[in-house]
Amino acid sequence: MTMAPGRKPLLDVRGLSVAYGGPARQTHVVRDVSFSLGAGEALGVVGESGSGKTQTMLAVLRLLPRGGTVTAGSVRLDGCELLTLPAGEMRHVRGRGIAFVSQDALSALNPAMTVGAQIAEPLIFNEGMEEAAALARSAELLDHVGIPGAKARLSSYPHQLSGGMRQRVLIAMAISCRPKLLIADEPTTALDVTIQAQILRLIDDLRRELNMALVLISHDLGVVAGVADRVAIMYAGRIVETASAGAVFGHPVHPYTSALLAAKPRLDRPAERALRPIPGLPPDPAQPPPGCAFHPRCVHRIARCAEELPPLSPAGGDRLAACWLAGEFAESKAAAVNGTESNTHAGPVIAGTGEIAVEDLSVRFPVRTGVLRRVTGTVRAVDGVSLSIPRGETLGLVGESGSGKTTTGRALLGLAPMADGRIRYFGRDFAEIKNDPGVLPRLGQMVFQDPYGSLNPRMTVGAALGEVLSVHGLARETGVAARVNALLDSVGLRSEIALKHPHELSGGQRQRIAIARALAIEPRFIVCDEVVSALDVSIQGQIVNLLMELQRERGLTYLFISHDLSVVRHISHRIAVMYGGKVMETAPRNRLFTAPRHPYTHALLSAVPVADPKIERGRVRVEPRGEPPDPADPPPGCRFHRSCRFAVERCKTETPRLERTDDDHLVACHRWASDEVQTALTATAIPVGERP
Amino acid sequence: MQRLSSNTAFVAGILLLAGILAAALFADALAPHDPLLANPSVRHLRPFTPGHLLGTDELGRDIASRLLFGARLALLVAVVPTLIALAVGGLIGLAVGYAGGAWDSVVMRVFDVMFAFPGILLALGIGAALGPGLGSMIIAMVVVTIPAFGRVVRGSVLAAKEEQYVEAARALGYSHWRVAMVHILPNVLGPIVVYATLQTGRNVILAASLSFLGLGPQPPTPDWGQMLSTGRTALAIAAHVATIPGLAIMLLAIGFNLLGDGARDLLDPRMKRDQP
Repeated sequence: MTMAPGRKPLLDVRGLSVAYGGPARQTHVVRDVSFSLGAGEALGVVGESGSGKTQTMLAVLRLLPRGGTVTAGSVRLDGCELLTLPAGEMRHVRGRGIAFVSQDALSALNPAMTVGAQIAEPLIFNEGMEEAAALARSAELLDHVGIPGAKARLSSYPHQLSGGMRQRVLIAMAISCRPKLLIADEPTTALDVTIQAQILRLIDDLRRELNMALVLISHDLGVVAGVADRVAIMYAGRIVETASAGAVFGHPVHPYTSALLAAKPRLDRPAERALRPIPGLPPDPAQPPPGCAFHPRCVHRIARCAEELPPLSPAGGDRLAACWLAGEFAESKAAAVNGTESNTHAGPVIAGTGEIAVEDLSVRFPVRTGVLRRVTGTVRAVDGVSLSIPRGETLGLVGESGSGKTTTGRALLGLAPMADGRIRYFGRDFAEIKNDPGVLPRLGQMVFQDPYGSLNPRMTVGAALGEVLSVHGLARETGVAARVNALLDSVGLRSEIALKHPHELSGGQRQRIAIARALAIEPRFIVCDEVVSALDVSIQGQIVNLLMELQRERGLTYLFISHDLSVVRHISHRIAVMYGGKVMETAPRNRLFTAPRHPYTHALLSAVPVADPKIERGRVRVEPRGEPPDPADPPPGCRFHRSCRFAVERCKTETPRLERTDDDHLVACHRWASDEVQTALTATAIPVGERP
Repeated sequence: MQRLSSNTAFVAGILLLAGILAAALFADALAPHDPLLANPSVRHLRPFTPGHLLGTDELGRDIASRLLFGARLALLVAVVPTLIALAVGGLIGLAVGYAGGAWDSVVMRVFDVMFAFPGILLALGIGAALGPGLGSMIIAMVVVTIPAFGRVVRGSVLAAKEEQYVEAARALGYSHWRVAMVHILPNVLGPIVVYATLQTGRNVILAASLSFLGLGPQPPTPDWGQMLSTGRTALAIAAHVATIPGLAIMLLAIGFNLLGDGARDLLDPRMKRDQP
């Protein structure tokens, strides 16, 4: 990777390789990685799980877990070789030279130490400060990272803070000794999208202010687009392309980069644009394919790709790419995208009234405390939700964690207790069919978020699918195997998979099995709960396309629950936005994105990162103030009023009902029609693409 | 397989228990004398006396022979109460853990009360009520150990109940019986097998204690706890009469503990070889 001429690199990594296992059975997870980084520069490292992005950075920090060793290469910080530094000196490099922010802020903080003591610790250890001075400095740092009431927060324990606040504390710890380089590993992956936007802006501001270099690791191209000056794309342990952010996003040269960009739906592109997932699976690091590791999934491959490894070599400008055809792609337009085109919705299905109709649904969970487990409160997980889904359509349900979207889905299938309300299922009353065993499962099924958790680990795929068929009497003994094969075929899997256990399969394969299992009963309605959020970007598209295909073939009705607005926009006909257990707005898909009426929807949309640095940098973000409401103690009036910049007295006392603003667009806000809101929402319009 | 053989504790436990099991199975062939045959002319012979490798006891019976036949009883009273308590306690734990609610609270409070008694005291009480003998000793041991099995199984079931595949099974319309037996039970067996193995080790000691206190099989049946008890009277003049059965009890208990520790390491996913 090239740098601005005449500057000495701050971090210079050359030929770094990392392997696990003994010399006999070594598995390389990082292969010959080289990059450098100037002072104050921001590098985004993008790759899917297993691409080696985290392992590379752990090797730089010399924090590889047991069993991992650096087999070759050098890592220099300010010209000083880190790999051979004595352990004692290395400890001082971490903190003062390089600081690290990890993904999971809850487990990265010590639950038994106060926040103040944890921030003060590196100050005392690395800087030799007195305890009182260190605590005073800790309060300054907390204030610096935007934690309100910093002094009082010093004595809080990590569990008393929200996810976003914990991430801010980690960042405060990381910058406490004024490091020259901050490595942030998926710092926002576990956070809600509005909080993610806040944290990314904080990191970016701090980097400029403290003139820190930054390595931002992410699987999300959109997250990197807004912050990084340069981007490195990793695949199977190697950097396959690196260049300035504008060049990588605007004109990708490596086929993998182009494919990755095309695999994910984007808010700034028309929703009708086809999703093109990358075919196949990422390689097994223990047995990488010969030659270029991407060649089995690449549509541009030539004979040479399978035989010879392409080196990372200049491909015009400051770009390096590892592809035999890089020269051609660099001259022409970007490498045409891999994979098959998928069709999107051909428009809404002709449908009458809602086939799934929910009226005033409420789900409450008792809060029990004390030895006697007395009920001391109620969590209003879902509070008066009304929805309707026409047959054969998809309703997207979006919202942040705790908004009640998953509970709504579970209640629709009788998996969460309904406290109030009415559900009608294809013309039948829910209360009627709920008590009739075997009826509800045949009407409605669920596909769960975690493909690793939703399959019984002790059952083979064939046994799990066969079980559904035999329990519901859908196939005779002899017919089971044939039906299982047909089910596997319908989700694009080969019949050999029937003999495997879940742990032998990839995440995408497991999610296909979970879909096949739900389909086995031939339900009419499927609740898809965050079905792609645990999957790699290249696989997400495959699953989304599969679901859409199945909908077209079988006329299925979906409730698609997700926090990922771009995926929801791609798959849904209509979208409902939830906040604090209530529906804030529902509208047809494009309508919601181009003309949101509710201030919360607007804030949510403005927080979604877009994989285009030009758009990302010019965006005006509307950040809601404060944190989402506590469902055990919801505020009176509108749930959003405390965070809403348009709230008036009425919002604090009177809960707005969902009202029809015009055809098919419903909003629950007292002020949606006011000039103030209308002007503000149009003025900061989001660069959402729509077909002209 | 490789992980199995590289686990020293597990292998050592297996070898030790296999040795004791072989001794019990082939006691008829291995024992040099009739374990019940008293011979007052050779009382309190020291170990390594020709013809009596481990010496003789206060009635002149061959200690080695009594030890070999006693191994049968020792294994029986360690394993059988474990299996019964595992089955009964396990099913109770599975049922109340899965059902939850009032039944769970009531059964757990009953277990709490049983836990509040020292185990040996409770067993003595039950044994005294039923009268001494092998059968009542086993019943006493089962009653005392049921609450622990119930708790362990209930705890694992509570965790497994929250797994997504259990909710998936409910969404698929499976019966409670099927969800509990097919989807929960097989996934909680690991920790229960470990606990049962360790409990068998503790049962060795518990059985020996009860038998030492006169609750178990009555003389002249060769039984390690009883041998310890009768040998105690001659500690000053012939310490080996009590020490040798004591050592045998210790070895058997160690064998089960090693096996249990080894099994725990093998079944614990966190102990698996580090992978990136």
